[in-house]
Amino acid sequence: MNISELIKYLENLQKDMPDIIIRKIKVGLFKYVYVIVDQTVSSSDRVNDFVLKFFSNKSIFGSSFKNFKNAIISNIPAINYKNVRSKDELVEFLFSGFTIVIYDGEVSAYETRGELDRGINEPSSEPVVRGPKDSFTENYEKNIGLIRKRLKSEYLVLKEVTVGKESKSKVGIMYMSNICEDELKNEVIKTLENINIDGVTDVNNFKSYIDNNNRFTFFPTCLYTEKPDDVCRYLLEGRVIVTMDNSPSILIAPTFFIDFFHNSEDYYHKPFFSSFMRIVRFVSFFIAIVTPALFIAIVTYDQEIIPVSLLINFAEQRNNVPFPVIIEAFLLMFTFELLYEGDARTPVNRGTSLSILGALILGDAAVQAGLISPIMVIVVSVSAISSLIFTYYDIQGSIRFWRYLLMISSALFGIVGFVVGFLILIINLCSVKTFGKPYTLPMLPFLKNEQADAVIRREIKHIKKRPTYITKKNVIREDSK
Amino acid sequence: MKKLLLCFVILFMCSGCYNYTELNELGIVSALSISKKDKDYLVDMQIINILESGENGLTESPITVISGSGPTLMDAIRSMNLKSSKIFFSPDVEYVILDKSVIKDDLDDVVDFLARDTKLSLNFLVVTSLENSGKDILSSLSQFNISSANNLASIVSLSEERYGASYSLNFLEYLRVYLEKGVNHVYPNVVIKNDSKKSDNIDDLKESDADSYIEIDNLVTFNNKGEATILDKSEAFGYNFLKNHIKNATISVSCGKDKYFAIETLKSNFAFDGIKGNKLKIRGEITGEIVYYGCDGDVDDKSVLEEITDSFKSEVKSYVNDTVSLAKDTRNDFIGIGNYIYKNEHDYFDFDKEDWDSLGLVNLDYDISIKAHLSKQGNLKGDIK
Repeated sequence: MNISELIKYLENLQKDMPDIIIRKIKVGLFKYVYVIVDQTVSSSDRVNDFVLKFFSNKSIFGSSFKNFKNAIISNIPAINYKNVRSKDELVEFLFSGFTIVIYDGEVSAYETRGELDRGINEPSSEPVVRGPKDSFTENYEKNIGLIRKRLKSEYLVLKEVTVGKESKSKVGIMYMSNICEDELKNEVIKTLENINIDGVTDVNNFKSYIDNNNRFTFFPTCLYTEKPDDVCRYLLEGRVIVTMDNSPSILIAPTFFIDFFHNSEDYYHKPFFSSFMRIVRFVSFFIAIVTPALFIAIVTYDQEIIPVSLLINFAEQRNNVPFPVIIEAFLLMFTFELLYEGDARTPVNRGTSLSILGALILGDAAVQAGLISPIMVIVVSVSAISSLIFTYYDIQGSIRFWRYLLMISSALFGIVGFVVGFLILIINLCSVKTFGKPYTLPMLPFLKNEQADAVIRREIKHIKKRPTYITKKNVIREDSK
Repeated sequence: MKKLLLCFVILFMCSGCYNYTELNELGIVSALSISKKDKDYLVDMQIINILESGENGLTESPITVISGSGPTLMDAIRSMNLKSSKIFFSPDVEYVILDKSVIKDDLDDVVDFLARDTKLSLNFLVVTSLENSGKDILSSLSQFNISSANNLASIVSLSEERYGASYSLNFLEYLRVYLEKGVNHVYPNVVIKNDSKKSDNIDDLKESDADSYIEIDNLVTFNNKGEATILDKSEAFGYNFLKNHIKNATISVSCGKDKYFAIETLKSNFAFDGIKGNKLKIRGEITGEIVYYGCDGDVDDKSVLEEITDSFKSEVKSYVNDTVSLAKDTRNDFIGIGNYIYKNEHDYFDFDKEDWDSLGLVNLDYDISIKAHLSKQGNLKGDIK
């Protein structure tokens, strides 16, 4: 590299980026050291204490400059030292919080990264009652550390890939080499290596690459989590995880439908309670999807199904409502969507006013105004509450889609439309494949030997095998070494 | 692809919503009455009024009765559209009152109409009323239930199960009997007690002692000529024992002057057991429990228990005997003896050539044999030793 050209390039860069600081330190007769740092991503203390202090000490002993180049390399107290070979590398290191030292045609980078991330907090999107309460942050190293401190194994492998021409994001692929199938990890690594894009901002950007074969499904095929204990469990099952710099989530591959009904807390409670909760989640999944549609179908087409006392009750409630049932349902559902999205994006200190307003609109005022009937409020609320049981936003999105589809088909064709819509749902669910395996495993096809931790969970001590539909390598948990 | 999508959209637009009905457009029909006047059918329809829930009880009548007439039943019902803005919704019909005027001559038309109407659930009860018109029965209100139709249907069912002297005639059973040979229908007879004109008065409901109310007044059956025969209480018991309708009835048996014991039946099973010569064997077995014992003697004594059992058997036997005698006397085989013979002893009588009711039934002799198994409950007098 031509140093004078490089300095000129950096000085040009500085004109548009005032956060770049270029220090020219005189260290001898006609001898200069350039120290370049981006103050927004670096820690000033580290730069001062370790790099600049080193040079200021050296300048006092001006006579010992013969081996100055070696001294810089070996004596600057930074654990992470990189030899910079190109201009692109220089830019990447500079904006990653490294201090660039240029002396005598040699360009070196020392890690002086500033702490730009938040600390380790409780998981905000996956709150827990029992079990570890730490969560991943935007700091890549910390995230890796949170996993490593739980799995102190020589087999926990980390492969790194850089993705994004402009963002140059560091992406880590982790797996247990003694458990994970080679085909799986190779496919994930290859997929990520082949991504050709200018930049990625979060690990969730990789979803569409990883489950590229499932474009026509409305079920989520890639699970993400921000809980390290969950990730460790998945790693021990033989799955691959994908983490990324500046992303607090971690992607899990492969993902099966049943994974959305599991929760790390299931393993911290008694099996009976965990199994009961899983059944509740399954039931609530269907309630969330079918309740409004079934109500519309029955009330507008197949009233014969309703017992007469209930029919009179419903008719009485709908007596003054000016809209057809379907409009009423959509009106209330749309109001719920607004509240839901509003609540998710509203700062906590303003959430109360939204809740009060929402409760008033949905609960009372709309009924009093005769816009909707009380039974519709109950139906939509039951459906909405059932969908809120799921912590994963993706599965909630899927529930919303199927709910609306079934509502429309039921409004057009009654019970027949409902049944056809539900069949389409089942067909769509059964047609999904994740890394070549049926998405509905181990329920469909039913794998009898894999039911110890499917819907019903057995005692941990009795779950002696890993799920063989995920890995066939080293399946016995007790003999993992 | 665009054409395919267009086809789908058109398919949805053209075929969707074809039988869409909003709940508030429905007129929920809870009961029907069918009668005939001159040559026209007269249909009365009880429709449930969808009222706002009042805080202080009912202020308006919860039901409306509308009538229509026409040369056919369909005409009579369609003519009611002139009087109501509601779409008649009939799957929740609780009962249908068949007037004696249609039972006599026009049962074919009526049964055909009721069986073929796809909107009816076929699960309704069939009743009749000898004393009151169908419209009066439909118009009467109930103190127990806002839906008077539901109230009447419950009375019929419960009185069969818990009392034993009534019979809930479901339409499917009605249809089965209608299509069978050698058996006639038995109807619950509904009457309005006291002043029938006051039964539809909403103010009457506000009183704890209503001036007028609906009651099941035993059973009634019609022979081939349309002549009504009323079954009194013992005959109704006998009929229900023979038809195995009784589930949980209480029978009081006299054991001296003003002294009684009461048996609650737990299980009863009666059957015709073949015909020998001219004699039909009727076998019955009853399991019951002594729920009241007001007689002399110690019920723990085996001989006393046997005595009670014999008295109970005689009582039941007299019920059955009364019932069979009534059938023979009125020449109306409502029990289904002819049906049994037609199916099981076909050589005994030629049903195609001769009239069973007037020839076969009258000349038939019968033998009743009953077994009873009684157990006892304790009472405060301490008869458990």
